[in-house]
Amino acid sequence: MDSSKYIDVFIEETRDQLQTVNSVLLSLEESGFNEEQMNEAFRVVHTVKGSAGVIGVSHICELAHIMEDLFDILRKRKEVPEKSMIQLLFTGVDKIEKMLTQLEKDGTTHLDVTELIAKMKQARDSTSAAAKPTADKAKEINTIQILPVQRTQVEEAVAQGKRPVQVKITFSPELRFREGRAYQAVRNLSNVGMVAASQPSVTDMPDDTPFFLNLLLTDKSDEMIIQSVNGVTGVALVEVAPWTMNVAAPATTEAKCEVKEEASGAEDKSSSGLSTASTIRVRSKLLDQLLDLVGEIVINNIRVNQIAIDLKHRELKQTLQNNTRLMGEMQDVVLRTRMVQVDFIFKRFPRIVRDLAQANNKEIEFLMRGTDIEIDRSLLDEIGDALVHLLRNAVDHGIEEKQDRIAKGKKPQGTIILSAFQEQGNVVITVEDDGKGMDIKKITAKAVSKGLISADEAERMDDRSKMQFIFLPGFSTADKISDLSGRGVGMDVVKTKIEGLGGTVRLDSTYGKGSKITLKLPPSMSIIRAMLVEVNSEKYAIPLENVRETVRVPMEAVHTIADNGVFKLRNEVLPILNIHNEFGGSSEVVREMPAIIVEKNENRACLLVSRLIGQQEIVVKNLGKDLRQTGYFSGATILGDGKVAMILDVGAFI
Amino acid sequence: MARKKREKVEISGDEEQIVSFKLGKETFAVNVSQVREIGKVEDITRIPKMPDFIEGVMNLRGQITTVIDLKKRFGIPAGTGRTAQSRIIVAEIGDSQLGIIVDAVEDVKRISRSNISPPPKTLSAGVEANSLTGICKLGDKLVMMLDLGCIMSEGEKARLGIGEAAPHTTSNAMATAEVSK
Repeated sequence: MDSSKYIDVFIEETRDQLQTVNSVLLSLEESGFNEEQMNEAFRVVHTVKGSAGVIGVSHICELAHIMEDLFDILRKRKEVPEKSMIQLLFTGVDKIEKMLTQLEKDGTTHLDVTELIAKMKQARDSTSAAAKPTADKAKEINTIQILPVQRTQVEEAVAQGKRPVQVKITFSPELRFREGRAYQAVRNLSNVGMVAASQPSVTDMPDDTPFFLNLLLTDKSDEMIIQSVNGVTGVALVEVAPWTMNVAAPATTEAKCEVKEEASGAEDKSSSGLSTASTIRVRSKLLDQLLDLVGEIVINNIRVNQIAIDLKHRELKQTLQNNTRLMGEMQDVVLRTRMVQVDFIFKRFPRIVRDLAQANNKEIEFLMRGTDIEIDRSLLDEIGDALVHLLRNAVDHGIEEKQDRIAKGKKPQGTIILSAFQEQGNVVITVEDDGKGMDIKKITAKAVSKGLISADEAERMDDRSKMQFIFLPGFSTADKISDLSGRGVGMDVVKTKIEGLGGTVRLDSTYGKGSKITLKLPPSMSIIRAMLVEVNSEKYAIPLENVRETVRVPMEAVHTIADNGVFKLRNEVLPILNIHNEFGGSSEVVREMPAIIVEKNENRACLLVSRLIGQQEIVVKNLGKDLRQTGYFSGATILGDGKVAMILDVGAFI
Repeated sequence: MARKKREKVEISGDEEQIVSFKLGKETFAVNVSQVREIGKVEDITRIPKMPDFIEGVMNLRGQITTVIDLKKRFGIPAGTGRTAQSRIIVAEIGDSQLGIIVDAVEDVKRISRSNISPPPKTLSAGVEANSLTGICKLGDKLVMMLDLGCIMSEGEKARLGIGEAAPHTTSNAMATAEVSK
C-alpha cells in the first residue's frame, strides 16, 4: 500500500489528538483526576499508536505504545500521579509533535526516542507493580451490572419468553489482542440470543483482562451457548449462570451511561451501512481552489446575465435569476466552510503558558474566553505566532515574580486572559494580564536616548502616543527588556503581521496594574467590504475600514501650506492626496472633485478621486511579490466585469 | 492521428516542441512545457509606478496574473503596436504565472535538438543573454529560443530598478518627476 498520501491526514489527525492529550494532562495537574478524561487520553494515544503503525512510523508507534501503557496504569489508579510522571508524558507528547514536524518536512523522522522510552518503561514497571492490586480489584466484577436504559430491554425480552443468563468468558492467560477475540465471542453469542451488555466493554479491553461478562437474552439451552463461544480461539472457559436484575445506581454511572448510548448508537448506524462521521477533513488548498472557482462562476454569471438581458429572452432571464441566487448561497457556504473556531489554535496555548510560567518560576492562572468564535482558517493560521508572542510577553515581562506581587499587595497568582469576541463584523482578540504594566517614563527616556524624539517633544506628547514607541522595530530589543517594564519584544512584528492582514493593534496599559493588547481582525481575509473609486479611468478599491466618509471638495477650498494642499473639514485640517498625478495621469482642472476621507492608525487624509462608484463586497486576491513592491497596493480583486481592480493600501499614503 | 504523433514526440529525447511567436520582425520561441495557454489581449488593468514593460494585471480564471510587454522588455521598437494578431502567452513559471504580450503567435511545432545552437554573445535585439537559451534554424529562418522563467529574474529586476519604488515619497515629488519627463 502506498501510505504516502495518508501521511498528511495522519499528521494532522495526530496533532489534533496530541492536543487532547495535552489538555487532559493539564487538567490532571490543575483540577485533579477525572476518569472520563483519562479514558479519553488513553483511547487517543491508542489511536495514535494504531495509525502510526499503519503508516509505518515505528518511532511514534513505539512511543505511543509505552505512553498508552502509562495512561492505562494512571486511569486505573484513579488518582493524580506525581509531577515527574506528568512531565514524562508531556515530554512524550512533545517528542511525537517534533517527529510529526520532521515527517511533514522531510517525509521521514530520525528523532531518537530510545532514552525517553526507556525512562517511560522504568516508570511503568515501577508503578504498575504498585498499581496491580487495585487494578485487579477494579476488574473483579463477578456479576454483570446493567444500566436503567437496558433494563427495559431485558424486561421486554423476558416478556417474550426469553431468559437472561450471564455468560462468563475466561481467556487463556497468554492471549494477546483480547479485544478482537472478545468481539468474536460476542458475535458468536449473538447467534444464539441477544447480547444486552458486556463488561468490560468489548471495544475497550486491555490485554490484562482475565475474563469478561456478557448478559445474554436467549431461549437456547446452556450447552448451545457454551458451544457457540467455545469455537473462538483464546477462550479458555465459558460459564453460564442465571442472572437476576441488579440495576446500577444511575447517579454514579450517568457519565458512563452517555458514553454507552453513544457507542450503541454508532453500532446501530454502522450495521445499517450509514456513515457515522459528521465532519471530514479537507485540505485547505482545495477549499481555496473552491473559493476561487466560485468567485469565477459568480463573475461569469454576471456576463451571462448581461447577454440574457441583451437577448431579451424572458425565460432565460428567469432561469438565470435562479442561478444567481444559488450561486450566492454557494459562495456563502464555501466561505463558511473556511471558518473554524479560534479554539483550533487556542487549545495549544494553555500548555505554552504553563511551560513558560514554570520556566520563569511564576504562578499564572490562564483563562480563555470565547473559544467558539469563528474566524477564517487562513487568518487564524497567520495570527497564531503573533498570539504566542503576546502570551510570551505577558508571562515573561508582564506578570511579576510571586514575592513582588505579594509586596505590591496583589494576589500571588498572576492572571492572563485570552479572549475572543465579535464586534461589528470584526473578530477581536485580546490578551490581558494583571502584571506590572508599562512604565511610560522609561519608554519616554528610551525614546529620547535613542534620538527618536527630543526632550521637548517628549514633554508635549501624551501617554498614548508615547506608548506607540513600543511598536517601533528594535525599540526595546537593543537593551535589556526588563528595563522597559514589560512588552516590546517584537511588538513591531506583531503589529506588521496584524496590519498586513487588514487588522489593527491597540495597546492599553496602566503602570502597576497590567496591560491589555487588542487585536482587531476582519472576519475573513478573503472577503471585505470596499469602496470602489475611479482614478485616471482605472478602478481602485479602498477597504471600507479605512474610509471614514465621502465628501465633495471644491477646489477653491483647498489651501496650500508648505507646498502641500490641505482641506478644512469641520475644524479639522486634512492633507490633500492627489494620486492622479502620482499614478501617471494628468489632473484636469475641475471646480469640484469627489474625495474620500481615509484614515489609518488615527491619521486622516483627504484622497481626491475622479469618480465614486460605490460600496461592494470584494474578494481579496494576493499579489505576487513583483507587484507588491510598489507599496501602494495591498492586493487586488476581480470586479463583476471580470477586470482586475487594485486595492489601495491607505497606509502607504498617510 | 495528430495526438498519436504528439505523444511520440514526448517520448523521444532528441526533439522539442515549441511555440513560436513574432516580436517586431524577429521570431522567438519557447518550449511548450512553459506555456499554459494563449489568449487575446483584453482587459488589462494598468498598475501605476511600475516599469513601463509591465503592462498591468489581468484576471485569468480567478488568478491575478502579471502581464508584461515583451517588446518593451527587450527594447524592440513598438512598430505597429497592438493589432488584432496580438496575443498573450501565459507562461507557467514555478508556482506563479506570467502573461506575455507578443505581436503574433505563429506555430506550435516539433524541432530537432540538433537544430539548436548555443546563443551568440552579442545580439541585435538586446535580449538579455540569460533568457536566451539558443538559436534554432528553422528552414531559412533563425528562431531565438527563450526561457520565460528568466524574464523576471532577480538580476533583470535590479537592472530595471523595480525594487527601488519608494511608496512614501510625497505626491508633489512624484508630480515634478512626471513633469520633468
